[in-house]
Amino acid sequence: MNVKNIIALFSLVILSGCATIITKGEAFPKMYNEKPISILVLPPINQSTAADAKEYYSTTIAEPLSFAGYYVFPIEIVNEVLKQEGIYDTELIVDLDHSKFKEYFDADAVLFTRILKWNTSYYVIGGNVKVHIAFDLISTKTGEQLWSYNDKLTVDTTAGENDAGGAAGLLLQLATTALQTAAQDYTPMAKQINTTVLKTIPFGIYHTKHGTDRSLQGINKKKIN
Amino acid sequence: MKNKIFYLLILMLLVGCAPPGIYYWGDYSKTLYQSKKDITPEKLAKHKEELQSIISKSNEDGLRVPPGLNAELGYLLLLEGENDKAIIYIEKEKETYPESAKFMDDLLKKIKEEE
Repeated sequence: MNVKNIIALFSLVILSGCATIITKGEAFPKMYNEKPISILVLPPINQSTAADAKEYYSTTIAEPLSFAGYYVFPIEIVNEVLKQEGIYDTELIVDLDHSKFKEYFDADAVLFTRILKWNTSYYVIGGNVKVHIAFDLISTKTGEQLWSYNDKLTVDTTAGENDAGGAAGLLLQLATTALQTAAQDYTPMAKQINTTVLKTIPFGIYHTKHGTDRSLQGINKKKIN
Repeated sequence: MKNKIFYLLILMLLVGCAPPGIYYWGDYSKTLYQSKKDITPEKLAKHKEELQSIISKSNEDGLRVPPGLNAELGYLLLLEGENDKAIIYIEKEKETYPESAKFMDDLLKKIKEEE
């Protein structure tokens, strides 16, 4: 292989492999300029077929957001206030003037989450759950998008291998898998996707590494909305 | 080998989602989830207990109480008619996180108006 070929190969690797991976600063420059401190999490917009995903999902988001370094307004109380104001359906809030959230809550940013897929599917020997959530953080000052991420996750809920052999064993395994999938709590899956997605948000002021992650590589450009 | 990879993944998860020394959240999302899935006074009481335990453990360990939790406990106390105790926790939220002041002041104002 001559030098020319090697260079060509390298260029190809760089172009195909690295072109979509960028730094946090490149991906979310407005986040570093505005430095939001407090985030108001709005009730998720549920576009999946799981009717109860909305209520349950909101029980999992505060914890990882706090670890990312942000103040998170008490979600349960915010939800009550929104219900009283008749805007618990985030679908109704999307077009609302974002500066209202500054006015009423003094929030720096609002987080919209869309649950696109939350499906439980069965196949012959095993079950899995597909979760797809899109995140959008919007500035209450400018109405602009500060951070966004869109990720899919498949969680395998297959029952562990069992020793019972033959057709009876297979049936037993099928039944166990169906049961396990049906009884799946949303919580662990939601936590898993939150952990993955929130790795990409710049560290907030309560994070010990706040202000140090601007040049950190690892944001997949394709997953930014 | 499969086992080793599994443990490594678990370890990475643990390291990744709970950096030591920032907050202690206990079983917060679990007890909250259960109180929503099965709306009974028992499940709600359990969640309230968990909030109290997170707050006292955070205080013992010298950690900041996680965002929103003082306020949430205050809110549950308010629903029980324990207004005086509720006010204490709502004030604590405001003290710990000054960025919550506007929202907390509005809540305090509402409590006083209703009295």
